[in-house]
Amino acid sequence: MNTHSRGFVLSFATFSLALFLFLFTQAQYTHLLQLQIDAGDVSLQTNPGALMRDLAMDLNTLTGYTISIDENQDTAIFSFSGRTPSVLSLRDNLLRYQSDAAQLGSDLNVHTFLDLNQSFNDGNFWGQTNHGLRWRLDYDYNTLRIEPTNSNFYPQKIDINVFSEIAYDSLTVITGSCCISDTHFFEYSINYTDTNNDHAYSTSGLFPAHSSISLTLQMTTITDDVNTQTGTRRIQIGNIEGTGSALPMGATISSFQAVSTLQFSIAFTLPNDSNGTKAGYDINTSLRGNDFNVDTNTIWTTFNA
Amino acid sequence: MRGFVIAVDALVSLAVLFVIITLAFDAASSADTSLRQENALRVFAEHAALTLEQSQLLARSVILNNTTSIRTYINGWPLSICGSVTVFPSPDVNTPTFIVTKSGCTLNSAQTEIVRHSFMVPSPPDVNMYVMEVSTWPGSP
Repeated sequence: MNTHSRGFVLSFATFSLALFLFLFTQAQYTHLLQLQIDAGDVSLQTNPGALMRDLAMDLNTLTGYTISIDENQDTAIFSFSGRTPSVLSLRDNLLRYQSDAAQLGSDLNVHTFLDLNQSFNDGNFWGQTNHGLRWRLDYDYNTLRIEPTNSNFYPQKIDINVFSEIAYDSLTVITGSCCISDTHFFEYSINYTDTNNDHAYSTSGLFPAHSSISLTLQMTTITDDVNTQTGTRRIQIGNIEGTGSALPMGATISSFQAVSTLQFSIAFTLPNDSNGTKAGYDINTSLRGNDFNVDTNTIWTTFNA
Repeated sequence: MRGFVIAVDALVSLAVLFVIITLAFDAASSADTSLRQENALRVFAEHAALTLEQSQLLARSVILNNTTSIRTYINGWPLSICGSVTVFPSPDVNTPTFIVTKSGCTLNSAQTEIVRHSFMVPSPPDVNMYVMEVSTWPGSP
């Protein structure tokens, strides 16, 4: 009797331990499965972020322009380079990309909508930095205009380099001078070259930051022997509105009735802060999916900040 | 007699116990390993897709109709990771423009992680969209 009782006690203890381990393992396994499900959910929730980054990289190629930011603690150099007129049909490509992006989103279970109404309604493709600099690309007049959003924010330097594939027939330099005493100045420099080595033109100096001063280089090119078509290109720097002293200092580059392509790069040196500087295009974008709604007015195409 | 009763009882119990312990640890560790592996493969595929797009390798390969640089890139992946890169013209994702698979790898569909990205290829005045599919699965280290 004693022997049987001892054997029973041992086996009961062993089975109790086994049962405990079994139940513990079941619980642990269920927990791990839940972790796996959570990992899947996280993956789904990261889809909008991955998609937004994908859209940003696509936009860089789609526009044909290169936007970059080179920053340090105190300053950020915002550079915009490309060609005007662009070799790409920006408006048509944007429209096509609208449906491409929707398709791309649906592959990731993300409802994606790019609202291009603003871009199409006013004929400009807008962009900005997160530190008060805006630019607009005019589809029809092949004009890029970059300027701060208010007169209290001014660049430390504006640097423009332009190359024309066709030499000009005449160059006009127009200086709008209406200076006021000012405590703030910014540096500027313009370098122009074309296929005629004698046409290289460089100018640089200081502008008061709150005046209506401007500098315009206007190049006229006659395209054929009978002078029936004239193309005009213009580089303007300073107060590009031309009136008043409270307007921001910016730059434009345009090629009306273009007879050839201008290759340009414009660099604005701006004050920076601890938040960093980033730049992107203004496109109202909505991403919808399980457990997330993302709405943004700007697709940031630089990833510095 | 007394020892015999204990031995049979205990042996059977211990055997059951060991079986349960083994099954338990196997189940727990396999779930954990599988989770880590899936995550690692997915993250690797995501990074590879970003690299391929940002470096313009894919766009150049489509323009030049030459996949040598992509093959060189994926052959440089770690031995423990196999994979392939497939490019489709959007929106037709049924007819690949090209498929490049890492040398020495055979598709393991049971453990494959797939990441899709779009990328643009300029063809003035148009810009055409393509979709790349980066697939990764465990290789033999």
